[in-house]
Amino acid sequence: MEKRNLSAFQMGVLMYPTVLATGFLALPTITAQSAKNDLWLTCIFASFIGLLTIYMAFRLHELYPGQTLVQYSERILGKLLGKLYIFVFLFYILNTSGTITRQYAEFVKGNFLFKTPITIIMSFMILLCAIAVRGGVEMLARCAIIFTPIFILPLFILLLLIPDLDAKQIFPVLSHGLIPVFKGSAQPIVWMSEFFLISFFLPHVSDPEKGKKWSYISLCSVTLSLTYVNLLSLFLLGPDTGNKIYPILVAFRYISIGNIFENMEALLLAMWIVGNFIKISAFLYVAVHSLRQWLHLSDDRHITFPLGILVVVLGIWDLPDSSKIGENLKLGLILIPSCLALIPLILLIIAVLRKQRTTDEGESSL
Amino acid sequence: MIRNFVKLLRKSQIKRHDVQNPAIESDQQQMLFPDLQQNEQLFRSIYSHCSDVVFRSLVIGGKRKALIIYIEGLTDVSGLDEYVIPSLMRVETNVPLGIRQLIEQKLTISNFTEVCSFAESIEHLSTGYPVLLYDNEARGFALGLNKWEKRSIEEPSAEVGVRGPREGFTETLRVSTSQIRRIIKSPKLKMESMKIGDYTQTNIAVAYIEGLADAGLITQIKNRLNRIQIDGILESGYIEEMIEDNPYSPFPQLLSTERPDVVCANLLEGRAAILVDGTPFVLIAPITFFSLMQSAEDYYQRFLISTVIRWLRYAFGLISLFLPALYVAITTFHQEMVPSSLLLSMAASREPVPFPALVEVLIMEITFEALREAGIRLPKQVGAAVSIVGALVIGQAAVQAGLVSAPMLIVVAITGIASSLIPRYAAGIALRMMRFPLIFLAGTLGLLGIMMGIIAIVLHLCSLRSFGVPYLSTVATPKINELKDVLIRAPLWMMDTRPHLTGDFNEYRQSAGLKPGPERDGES
Repeated sequence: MEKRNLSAFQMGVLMYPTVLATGFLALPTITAQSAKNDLWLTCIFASFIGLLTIYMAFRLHELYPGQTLVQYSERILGKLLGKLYIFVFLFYILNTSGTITRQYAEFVKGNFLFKTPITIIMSFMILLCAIAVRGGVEMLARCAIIFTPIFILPLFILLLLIPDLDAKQIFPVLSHGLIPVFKGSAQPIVWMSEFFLISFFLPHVSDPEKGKKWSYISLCSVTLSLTYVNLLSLFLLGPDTGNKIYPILVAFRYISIGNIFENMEALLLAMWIVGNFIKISAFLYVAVHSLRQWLHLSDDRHITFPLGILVVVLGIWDLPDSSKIGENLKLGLILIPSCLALIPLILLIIAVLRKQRTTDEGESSL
Repeated sequence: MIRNFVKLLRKSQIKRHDVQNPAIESDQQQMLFPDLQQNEQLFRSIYSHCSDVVFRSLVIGGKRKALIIYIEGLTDVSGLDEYVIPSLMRVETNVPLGIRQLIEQKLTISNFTEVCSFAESIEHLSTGYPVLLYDNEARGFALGLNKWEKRSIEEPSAEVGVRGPREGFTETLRVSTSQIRRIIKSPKLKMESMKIGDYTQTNIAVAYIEGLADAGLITQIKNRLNRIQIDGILESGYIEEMIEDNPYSPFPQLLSTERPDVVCANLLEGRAAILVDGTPFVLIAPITFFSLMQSAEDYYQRFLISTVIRWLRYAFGLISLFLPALYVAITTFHQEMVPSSLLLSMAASREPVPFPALVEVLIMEITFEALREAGIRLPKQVGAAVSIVGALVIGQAAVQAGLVSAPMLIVVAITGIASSLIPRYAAGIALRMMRFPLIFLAGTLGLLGIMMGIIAIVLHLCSLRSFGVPYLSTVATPKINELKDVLIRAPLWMMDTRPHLTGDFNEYRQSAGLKPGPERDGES
């Protein structure tokens, strides 16, 4: 059932857009509002949580090889509590997928396609993602490898802004102390804890020893990219960074080389679409496989499209406009890391204790 | 659910295919009779109303009656006249020879086969071998004297190049196999043949190099070929459609080529070739998408030139797919992307056009495709005039009439040129045809639509397989060693390893350290 046909490199490349796609657009604003001009430090602090998350995912995979979160949480917490936890987890994943899709569609609609109904934009993307998920994890990985260069390239085009950047905006460093920085780190922690989704891809990786290396490389790349984007917004906009909804959009609009290369936000659109395709596909994949393993279904093809429709609905329900999404994100500060980082930590502790207990019992029975 | 419904519908309509071959009737399974008269009667009734079948009766050595049956036009009649009939007629009267000794000792021809049944005799007769029947012998002999009119070896018209051999395959299987044997002289080059097609009994040969090609691949190819039950194979395209992995995809999963050097290069990399009698186009399996974007000439020119031309080809391949859609998207939705000086002149030229950009582009693209198809079928003298001058004149007239705008015409012209850069016609036409859904998507959803189209195309390509090899295998499952032949064209002295297709493979094709230089050790 679980064919090991993913390479560790593919998994690392898959995780890069999965975490970064919505991050680079939404994070500079949120962190600037708390940390002011120290926003570039926030991602570095948040990456420690990412390290912890990856470590947890790998450790749990070592303790229960070949099994995903759904399967070993039943083992660790017992049948009833495990199933209950996965029930909550499933709703969390579906809700988050809905919110991500909605964020994606809001950006597209608000800046490019003003008159298109938002449901169409969301449904189109979910249709493509559902087709990708039906193809299995290797299709997802192959698409990720092809699309990630398209995703990374526009970030380099931002370097064309160097003449307009003012590096002195970074001073004074840490003038407000470390507390605002920690407050600002709360949001990136949400994004970094998404690295825990690795636990759903690990059973399919053919060389898990290299998996750790590539996951850490992926984490470093994400942190670097986020810091780069944050610094760029800071140097370009200065104290105004917290006032703009999408500072990167402003940056792309600002590029003007010799009156010919102007208004590059279409590049941003291209980058946003392919990045989000991979992100939403990864989340949808996790949702589909959680449901499948929770209910012990034999085949996931029948539930992919219905779950996709559910994700679209969850993206529209109770979110009348984008300001509500921002409000919900503040709630998400508590919910998301707990589902993805805190509870797996508890799971890991329980699992390690259990293992110790069985080895103790084993030793004592000798 | 819909799939189950369709299956149910189909089950009620399926007729079991008749297993027995309708082209050969039951009495032809009969063995040859010892009596010559009976044989001749049955042959005459089988070949009734066939005016090109000739029955020549002989008397050998004054006593034994014999019969030669041959099909005029397929047989080397002069060979019969010079070698067979004289040597048979000059046999001395009193020597009691069985027919086999007769042929071994008296008949001066290079090849003969024994036939025991009517079906075998018919099989040999239809390939042009005359069949010699002897009185009181329940077996006959098919003599190897076939000759027919065939096209001489010419330069393939579809795959022209500046440098490289100018020979192409012909319609006769034996000539094609001989061309491959001339290039690959090793006895490890195996050619397994089979006949497919109830009425045409077309000879198919599967060529591969033992030790380089994976045995599982060859078995799979042969299984798929044996599965084909059809009344006639006219061209290798029939075989291609019957054995490919994804029949609904617009992209070809087998490469078809007319050049022996292309076939041999692929055989040396561990692929297999399928040669079909009656067509010069040979199929190669398994392939990846990048095989379709390579041309043989890449490897005959030096590596820097080839790398640059390869990049040009990739860029123009993308242009042939995306340029009209990008034009529609930018002029309809994202006008701010156009530089301001260009924007004014574009707006001015689009002013008199009554259609939106989407309709304008569709009109011109469809007209261009029609002109291109017509250009293939027009006679040579008219064709050149119509396709070049006509297109420009029509385009200019359309611009002046205000039907289309001049930038649009440039876009269509560049797209047309771009699609000619793709070396394989099948891949070029696949990319050309996918332009149209992209244009629709661009006209309705702008750049979002184009990106959705790109994602859909990449999704489709990622799911394709060609005999077990993923279609985008070198890029999507990155193999560093093979990337140097895909992204650039690495110098020949760097290409030490073969690409890994399926199963086990023979890794090294040349020794390391072959880089040339002015002075090597020990030489002056």
